Amino acid sequence: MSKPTPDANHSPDSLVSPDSLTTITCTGCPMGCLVSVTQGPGGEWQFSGAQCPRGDIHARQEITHPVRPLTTLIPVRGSRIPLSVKTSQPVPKALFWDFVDQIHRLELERPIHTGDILAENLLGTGIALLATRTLD
Amino acid sequence: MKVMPEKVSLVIIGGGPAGLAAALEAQRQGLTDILLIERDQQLGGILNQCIHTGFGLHYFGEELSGPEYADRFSTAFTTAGIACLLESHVLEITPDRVLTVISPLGIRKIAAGAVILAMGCRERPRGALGIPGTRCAGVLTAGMAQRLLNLQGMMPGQSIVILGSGDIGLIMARRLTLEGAKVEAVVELMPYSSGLTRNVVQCLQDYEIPLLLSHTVVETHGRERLIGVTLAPVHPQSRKPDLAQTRFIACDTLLLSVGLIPENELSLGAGVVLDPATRGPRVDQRLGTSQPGIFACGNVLHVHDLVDDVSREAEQAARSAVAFLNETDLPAPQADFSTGRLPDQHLAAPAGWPFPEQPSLLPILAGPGIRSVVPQLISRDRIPETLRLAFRPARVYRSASICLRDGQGQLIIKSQRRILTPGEEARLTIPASHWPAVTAGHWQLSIEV
Ligand SMILES: Cc1cc2nc3c(=O)[nH]c(=O)nc-3n(C[C@H](O)[C@H](O)[C@H](O)COP(=O)(O)OP(=O)(O)OC[C@H]3O[C@@H](n4cnc5c(N)ncnc54)[C@H](O)[C@@H]3O)c2cc1C
Ligand code: SF4
Repeated sequence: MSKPTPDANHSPDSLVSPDSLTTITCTGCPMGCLVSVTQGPGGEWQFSGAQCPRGDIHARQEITHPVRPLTTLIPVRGSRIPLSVKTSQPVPKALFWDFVDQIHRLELERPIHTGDILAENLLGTGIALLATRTLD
Repeated sequence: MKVMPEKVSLVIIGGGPAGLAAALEAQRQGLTDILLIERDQQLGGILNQCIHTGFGLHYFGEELSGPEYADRFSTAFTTAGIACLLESHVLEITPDRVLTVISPLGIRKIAAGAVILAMGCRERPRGALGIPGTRCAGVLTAGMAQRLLNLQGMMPGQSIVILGSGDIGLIMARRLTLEGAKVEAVVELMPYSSGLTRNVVQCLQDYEIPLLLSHTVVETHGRERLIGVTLAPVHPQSRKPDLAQTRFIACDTLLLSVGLIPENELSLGAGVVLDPATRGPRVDQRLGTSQPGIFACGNVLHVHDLVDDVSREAEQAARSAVAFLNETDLPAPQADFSTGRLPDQHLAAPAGWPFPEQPSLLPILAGPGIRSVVPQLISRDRIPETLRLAFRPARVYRSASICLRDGQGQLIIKSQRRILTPGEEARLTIPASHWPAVTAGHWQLSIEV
């Protein structure tokens, strides 16, 4: 089996050297199983500690391509109330702060409606930014 | 001068997700004479300030932010043309359902055929905690900070300690970090977080914010503005702080996220009997309170984790209110809602227990391991097709069974669960096929390990 290479957007804590071990908390349910991650002789990921199959799926996702939802606020010219926004998809964890910086640099004007696309293809990822509030 | 009250069939108090869903369902049931009253300038309730995503997965099948979830309902509400008073505060409800409302046009009296209580909840304030120290600026509830930041763009502070690891506290830890503040620690009295695991991981671990379990704030410091707090570990059982092991953390802001309390001053005035465990009205399976024609749903009834459940519950309350309006010829149930609960579930039965059997009501008692259960009563004259009980366990249980037993201790239904925690409201469904001949004086829900 070929060694799975962590995706280019890996975060520092998803870098696991072949014999070191990391633990990932499954967020699937309140059990919060601690899933231990190791690599087998062929470099394949091995998981243990999950009480149900969702734990391994979650740990694999976290180790190869962790993503996080991103919501924040942007000031809008002429509005006392800041605009709440979300990304169209969860963003790669390693690029999280780059996304935040990019989003906070946007300059916006009213009117804005819930669902308006405020930016397309943030950081070249194909992820868009959407308004979650209406400011007329 | 005596004002003649206006007459309205159904009045809904509160324009949050509960009130909006109730109004829409009442209209779907064919009712036209509906009035919703909201004290704020806009509809949507607390959701307007919850800008994170995670709402609507069950109701809409997609992850929405709070304002988006509110927007779906308030748009539907406005399109439906249901009457609504904004910036109008209900001051009083009488037991016979006459409301006093203060609105921009002055004081109004409204006589309601039926009332749905949907006033939501408020946060436990600092006073309820009794932390010694100065009364300086910089100590506020997590919800107030959420409102300041998300609705007014104001940062409550730069270096922050959060007391309480409920979801609002965890979400605020992430929000404040994202907007440039440093969250020094989240401090939790209990040995476990009362928030979702997902929030512990994504709001604290991701940003390396320490979660100090079994700790509390024992003192606040500062004259005009907070300069720091003193923490101490607490004894695992007694939860008394160990003052020999205190430590100081410098911070300019302390956020309190220490629980929500249903907003029931109005309900008390109407003579509605409250449940000491949920602090909301005691209701039967129709969500009817002890006052005929007054129904309750959403966070005013019991604190919900998911807004999706709030919307569903509100629809049930609306169907019951419409049924009540359609059958006012039925005699009002003259049952006593105040009986049917042991004062403390962990103590021996009090004198006089079991309470005298009531012909029309079957109490559901919170037995060992259960902190609270909703509904607390079943009206025997309207046995439902399926009954859903919402309950909170008293502590964390792993591999336990939820058991519902009748007055003789006979098992009605049992359900095995991998985990039960006080931080997550759990549910038990009793299908009609399990409904026994209703004989005994009460049922009891308990956790058995
Ligand atoms: C600070 C805070 C933060 C929260 N954050 C989250 C979260 O992040 N995620 C989550 O899932 N849940 C959260 N919740 C829980 C959330 O409140 C519920 O999921 C849901 O919003 C409850 O709906 P509701 O309609 O019962 O109450 P609310 O949304 O609180 O609505 C009640 C409405 O009634 C109005 N009202 C009250 N009294 C009167 C009166 N006398 N006259 C007229 N109007 C009145 C209020 O103005 C309000 O608009 C939070 C709760 C609080 C208190
Ligand atoms: S592995 Fe399964 S049981 Fe464990 S936390 Fe994840 S979803 Fe829950």
